[in-house]
Amino acid sequence: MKSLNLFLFIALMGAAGLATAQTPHDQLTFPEINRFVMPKIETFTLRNGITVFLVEDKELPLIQMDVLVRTGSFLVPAEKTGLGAMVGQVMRTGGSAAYPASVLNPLLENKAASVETSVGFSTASASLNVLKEDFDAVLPVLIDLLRNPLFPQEQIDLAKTQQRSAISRRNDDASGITNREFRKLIYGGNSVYTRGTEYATIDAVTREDMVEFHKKGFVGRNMTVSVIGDFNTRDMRRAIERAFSPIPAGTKQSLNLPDVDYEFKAGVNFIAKNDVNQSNILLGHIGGLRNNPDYAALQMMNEILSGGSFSGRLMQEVRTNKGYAYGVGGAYQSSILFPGQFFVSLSTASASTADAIRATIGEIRKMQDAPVSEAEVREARERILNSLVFRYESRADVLNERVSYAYYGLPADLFDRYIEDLRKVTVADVQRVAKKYLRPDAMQILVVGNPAEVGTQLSEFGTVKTIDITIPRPAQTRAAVSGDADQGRMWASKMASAILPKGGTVASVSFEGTLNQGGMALQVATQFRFPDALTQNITTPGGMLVLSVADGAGSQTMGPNSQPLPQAFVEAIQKQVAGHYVNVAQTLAASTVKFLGTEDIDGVAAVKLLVEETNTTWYLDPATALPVRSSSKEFNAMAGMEVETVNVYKNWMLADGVMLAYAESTLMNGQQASSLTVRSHTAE
Amino acid sequence: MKSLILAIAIAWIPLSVSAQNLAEFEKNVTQFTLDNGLTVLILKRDVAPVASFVTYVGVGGANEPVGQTGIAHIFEHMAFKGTTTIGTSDWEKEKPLLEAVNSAYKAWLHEKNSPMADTAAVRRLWSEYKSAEEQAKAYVVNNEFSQIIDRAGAVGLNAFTSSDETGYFYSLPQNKAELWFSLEAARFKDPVFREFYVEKDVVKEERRMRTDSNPIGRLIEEFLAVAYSAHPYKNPVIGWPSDIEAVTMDDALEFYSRFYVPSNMIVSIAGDVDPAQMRAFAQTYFGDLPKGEPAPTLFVKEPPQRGERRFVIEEESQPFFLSGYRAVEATHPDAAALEILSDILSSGRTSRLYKRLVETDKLALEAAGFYGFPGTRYQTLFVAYAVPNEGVSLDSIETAMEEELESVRANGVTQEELSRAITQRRANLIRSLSSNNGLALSLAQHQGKYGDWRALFHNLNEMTTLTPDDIQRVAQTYLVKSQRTVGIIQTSAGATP
Repeated sequence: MKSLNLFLFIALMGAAGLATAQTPHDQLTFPEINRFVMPKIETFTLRNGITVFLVEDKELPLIQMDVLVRTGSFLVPAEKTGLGAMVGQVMRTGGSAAYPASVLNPLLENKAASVETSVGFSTASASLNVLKEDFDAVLPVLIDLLRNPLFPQEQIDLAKTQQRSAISRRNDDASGITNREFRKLIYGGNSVYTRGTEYATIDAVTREDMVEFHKKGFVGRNMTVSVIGDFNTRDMRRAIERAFSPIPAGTKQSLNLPDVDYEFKAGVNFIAKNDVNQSNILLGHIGGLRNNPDYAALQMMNEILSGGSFSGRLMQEVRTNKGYAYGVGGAYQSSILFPGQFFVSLSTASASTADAIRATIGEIRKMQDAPVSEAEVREARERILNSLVFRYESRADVLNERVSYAYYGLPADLFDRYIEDLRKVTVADVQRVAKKYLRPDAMQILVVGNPAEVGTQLSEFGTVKTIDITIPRPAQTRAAVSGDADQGRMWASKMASAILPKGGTVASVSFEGTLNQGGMALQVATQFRFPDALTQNITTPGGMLVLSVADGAGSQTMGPNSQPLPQAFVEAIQKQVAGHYVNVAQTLAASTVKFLGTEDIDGVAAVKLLVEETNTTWYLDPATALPVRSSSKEFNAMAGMEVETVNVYKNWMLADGVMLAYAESTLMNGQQASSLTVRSHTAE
Repeated sequence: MKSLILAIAIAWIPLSVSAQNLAEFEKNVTQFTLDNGLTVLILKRDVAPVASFVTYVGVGGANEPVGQTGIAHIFEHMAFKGTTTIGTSDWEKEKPLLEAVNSAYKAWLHEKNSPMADTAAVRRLWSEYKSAEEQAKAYVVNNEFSQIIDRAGAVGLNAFTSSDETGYFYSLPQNKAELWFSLEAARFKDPVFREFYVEKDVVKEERRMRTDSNPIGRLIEEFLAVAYSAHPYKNPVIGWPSDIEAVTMDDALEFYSRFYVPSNMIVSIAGDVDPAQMRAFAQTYFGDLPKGEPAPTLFVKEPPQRGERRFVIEEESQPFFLSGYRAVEATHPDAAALEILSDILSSGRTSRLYKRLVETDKLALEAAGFYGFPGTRYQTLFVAYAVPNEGVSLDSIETAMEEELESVRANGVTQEELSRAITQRRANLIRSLSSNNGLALSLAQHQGKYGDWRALFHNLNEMTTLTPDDIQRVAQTYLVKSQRTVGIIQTSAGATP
């Protein structure tokens, strides 16, 4: 009690002695800043090549260990993309010889210990975080995971399921789409820097691939171990020598990454996403490397363009002045291993898409066209220099910087030299690098947005290229079907002449009828133009709606209003036209058709024919060779699953040498989706 | 093997670490309240010559007047717009222009929403407002408030608004603490709502980003609107679009003067600072913040729920399952058991939902249950959600989820699960003690929500007294079908022409 009072007394006296008056921010003076005490880093190398860095930090009763491994998904061949991430996941989830998953998880979690592994693009890592008293018990777990991971098949299967699910979800989030597709525009779709997982690449990964990847990469010469926490350096050194020495030395992996073959050119790219009311925008071009002598001037340019919280020009103009965006920012990236990007990203209401892009490009041009002000350079420099103290907010920051520099082979004084250079950057330097490195006339502009709302706004920036992001369907899971090819050819020819009794080719089929869909009966006049165009006039209560697809694009028009059709919709129509039985009949001769026997349909032994190219099964009436039914299974990206579509055909009628089913109904996954009744048809 | 694990779990002494840490920690915390009611918390932590500063206000979306949803968040944005001396080149000239902007906007708003709105008049009033806004801009020094902070070398300048609270924070070199006091006191004593209506465009973009253009955002907004009938937790913190449009400068001023009173505010600092010095600064800069009336209390109580509520949104995106059970506020005695229940269900790879839905049955990419959504100050929800794997039906997700919850209700949980959850919480608490910003915020939040920052440690101690029976009892009491709301995203099959 007494000491508490004394404490209070001193505190109060202190406060009294320190009493101040309110001072406006611009008249404040500040005392000298306290100094950061650099921790001592103990470093040594084991005989198997493992480099170790140790820093004591007694603040909390914890120990954190990181094993940085010189490997990464950049080593994975294109057709097995996803292998790296899966190795990182299954090393941990699958457990090791001494600690299989069923033992490992409760063992760690009962101690609130964390042991994790991961494989990134140009690094892999294994880490451990424990209360210090558990360190001795948990270190062997980490070591065994590094040396003897089991890669059990059930955890591989789980990882594959999760990878597939992630693929199926990758077009749900607009900003995710924008970042992914912009990288492709910069580095190219098949580049190691942009490759993404696909169903086929996940399917291609085998357990042997994973074992091999681990075996080659997780070796002594590739490992850097760093430990920080509440330990005694001498004890820790001994523990590490004991635990890590048995790891085989292996061969050191180089971090040589392929060059980027970049060609500057202007492009306007659009990706349709119908469920958004905001455009996600990324624009820019290739960036550069960290070893660029202009690095400091470029950083200064970045800082003026979009540094600080609200200080950069982009934030000032595009957000604060114009209210176009919540977040806007960008940078000319100078990366260590391969060229970064120059980019500006923002999102804005669909209606202000062009305005926001124009304002953004305007700010980029301004960096080249006019010198920035002395004040901007001074203030940007102030922001950077004054925040340098945050370079080390903890002892861990010092350790991490050291390890990272060692990993990438960067000179120890790299950062200090940058700061030295930064102090000297002038107004002229900023304009010089803006002119030298920025190419506002040759940028790729990418917009992910709502096509109906964005409309034709983008055309002012150039010819708009639409990017298709339909997810490639998973590889066929069905086994190769064995069927009779000879009988297949015979029935194919019968079917063709049944539908086209006069033979020859048909360019288009037109019909009038009633389409029942979604509980409504719509009067339609439709023209199929083979192989991939369609015009459909639909009489709606609000007037005539014209749906039109030709030359790979589509529109819907009602009165004076016309809107482009979403790409996915256009493709669905194209497939429908190509897959129409009249078109099938005239292409059967060039298709691979197999006879699969007969199947009872409504009391008739229907002939079953598989057309391999479209993976569609046709059921023919043996008496007439006309289809009674067709069935196809297709991966529907929107539904995220295989959808089985069945068409049932009845009431065949002939006109202009073409048979048409005057009653056709469509079932999707067994549910009635639509039905069509035809009144008349013509063909050309 | 099982018994070995159990032995390890029990051998781990439950009480010591948190008690020890609290004692250790308490020595470094200084707490006092100014005469006007402002609570100040200072944690001395001299690991590096930096410090983090937080102003916490006990106001959030739940406190907004009818028709003004989103105003707490809009005010938060306005708190970066400066004062009568910061952000302006000539306040005397700017002041009448801001008043003109306000009148012009209100005139437009009134005409636009009148039953017999005259479109020509609406257009004219809008252009009058725009020209008033343009004139007022002449005296604005763009983002000066934030720029002063940036130039001082600050990092992490930002703010947040939730259903329950609003927080403002950034970190500075430790010798510049007085700058924070000077600027922070200025912005809350002397706020100016310049660029108010332009900033609402920014807020609308934020809404488009977080909610309108994001399937999960849309689901959550709908979910809360269905789950709550009377309580303002039903409203989105970002605000309904028409409310965002309708809020005026007068409304913001009214809101500010009711809720931004010292007794409803907490200042929290963590880092390499001298507590006595901070105390002096607090007195100097915040001492003259007028005491005002205590912030209004929210009287609304959510009425009993009469049965399960369900809804389905058809989307182009992949399916999602979200359910929420009526639970209790954070200060209720059952809250601790509900938190532990959420750990047992979904924290880590030994948790029940992970093992069943993610690992064994491979139904979900992610499955979890957690206590306390959308806030915890008032009666809240215990949420259980799952992200189905490709091709997995929502029915099978719901069935598996329900079976796991039923297993807790019928058979309870094991002592091992309970001990593990507590051990994890303790370790996580320790791990959280190494970030200035995290600590400053956490101390303020516990002080605000529980009336004592020590709740950060006490809540954990309370958990150590829980038994498996307690966990089973809260599962039986709260995870009841009739007391839940289920919202799902179903993928539309994709229209065919």
